[in-house]
Amino acid sequence: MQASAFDEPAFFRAIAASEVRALLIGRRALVALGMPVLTADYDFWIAADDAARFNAALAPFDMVPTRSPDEARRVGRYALENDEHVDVLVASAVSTHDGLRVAFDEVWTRRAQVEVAAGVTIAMPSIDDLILTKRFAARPRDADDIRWLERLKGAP
Amino acid sequence: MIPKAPHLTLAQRAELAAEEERPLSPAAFEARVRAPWTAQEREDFDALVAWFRRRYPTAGERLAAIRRRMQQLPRRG
Repeated sequence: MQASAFDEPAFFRAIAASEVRALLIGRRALVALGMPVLTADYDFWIAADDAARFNAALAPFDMVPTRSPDEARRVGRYALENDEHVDVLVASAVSTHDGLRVAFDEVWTRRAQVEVAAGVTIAMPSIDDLILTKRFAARPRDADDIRWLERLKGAP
Repeated sequence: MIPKAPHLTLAQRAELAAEEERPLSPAAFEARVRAPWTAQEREDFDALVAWFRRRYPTAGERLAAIRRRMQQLPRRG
């Protein structure tokens, strides 16, 4: 299959312009910090009330939500898809595998801003909060990512 | 260098992906997180990050570089 003509800077610009409270999480966040890891998907954690606006912002990219905003809020997650795949966490709080409750509002308060294109910034969790998000699913690669993030914290 | 993915069959890829998605037990997860770094591992990691940040100084450039690399790989079937 041929790669799509997806315009990544325009994608981030649309999210920034929407003023949705959206945090870039997952391995793309690690890439932004300086770790060359390969990843196919985009992962965002958005405020529970912002799903409809997030979907509207990405509609020009022909991205189709897998759940309605109400259903997504009930389930806590959904995806936006075409040739690209955007996983969206839409829960107001998520528990880590060991039972720590992580609230979106608190992570949002501590967010970092990262410039991803000229004049375009997106929000990401602080490194400590990104580490917490890696404890949600407790997959092997999440453990690896935590080790790397902890090492990165000590880097200049 | 951005690592090159090995050539795998679709079935092998599916098997690996399923394994990667399987949650670890809390104890196994913590053991993996807390596994001590070897000196070589630390050196390799620091060199890789330093190179990537030097070669692509901004977050946007890093994201674009990974995206280009992903586009060179076969898409998931």
